[in-house]
Amino acid sequence: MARTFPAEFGRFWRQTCGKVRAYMFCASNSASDADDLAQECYLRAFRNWDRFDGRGSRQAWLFAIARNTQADWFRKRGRDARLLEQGRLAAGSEAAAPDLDDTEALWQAVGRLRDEHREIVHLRFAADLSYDQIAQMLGVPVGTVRSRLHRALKAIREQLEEHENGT
Amino acid sequence: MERETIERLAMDRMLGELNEDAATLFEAYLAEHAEARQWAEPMMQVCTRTRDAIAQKTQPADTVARPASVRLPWIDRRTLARWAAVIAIAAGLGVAIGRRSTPSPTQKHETVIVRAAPREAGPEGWRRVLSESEQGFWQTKAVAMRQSQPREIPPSTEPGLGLWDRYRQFRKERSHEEIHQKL
Repeated sequence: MARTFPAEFGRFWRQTCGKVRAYMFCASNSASDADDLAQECYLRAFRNWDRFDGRGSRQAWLFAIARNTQADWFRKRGRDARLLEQGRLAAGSEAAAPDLDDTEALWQAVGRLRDEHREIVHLRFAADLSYDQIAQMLGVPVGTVRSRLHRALKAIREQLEEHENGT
Repeated sequence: MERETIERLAMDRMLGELNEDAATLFEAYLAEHAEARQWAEPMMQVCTRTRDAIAQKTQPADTVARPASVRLPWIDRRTLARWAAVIAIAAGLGVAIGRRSTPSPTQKHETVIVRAAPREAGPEGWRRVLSESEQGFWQTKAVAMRQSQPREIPPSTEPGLGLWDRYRQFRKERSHEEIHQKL
């Protein structure tokens, strides 16, 4: 029997699709891959729509699915994709550091963060999740989210200062 | 307060994670303590810059550089609307004037009168029809009707002729009439 498309899912999709795509773009650094990942994420969310137990927020649940989708994508493509991407970012920053504009410099600074810090930055600034939602999604205390984000921002600031000082 | 606490509070403030009361207290504290403000400001700036940079990088390409809509130079919406209005007014005036005007003298309707022949076109009826118009169609019609009417075989003037002879004479006269008509 064909499953009917719940109107609630449509509304939810309209509210969150921009954030999910932004989150996927942060991971893949590619517009087409971000679209594919977002599509896969919503497909999984649709299939499991009725399985949401109501604990926590629906957005945190969705971004947990998004995170798993990313993990599967990297696993499928191999770790090379991510390492290549990070290497490209690092090489690019060294080669073109003096001419980088603010956005690119900051984007590269985020790319050089540790995985756990970068993930928090993506979830907070791209997915626009609150501390509580990030904590629920990652299964860590809110204090941990806060401290990780603080460290991440400090690291970004230091990298920007280095960039601006030309060192 | 320690530097790390100030920075964390500044981060929370920028990300909207402080409630109203806490935010008010924190701003009051910063207003009173210049050193705390010096620690807080870089963290606030990096929050703003990170948010802006990620938003700029992650927004879809079609919203970044949307091509200007291709528009022919002579096609302008206002011009089109103006011309549409002119055409509509002209059409309306044309219809209104056309309805009010009398038909032109050169354009007379031709009335075709079809006269029905009397059902029982006896001699009186056909005489009346022929007196009204003895030309054209009715002339031909009258002749045809006259021919189709049964004729009485006139009594023979010659004595001794039988019925068969009289009939042959009648046919002969009639064939003469037909030949005459055809000619």
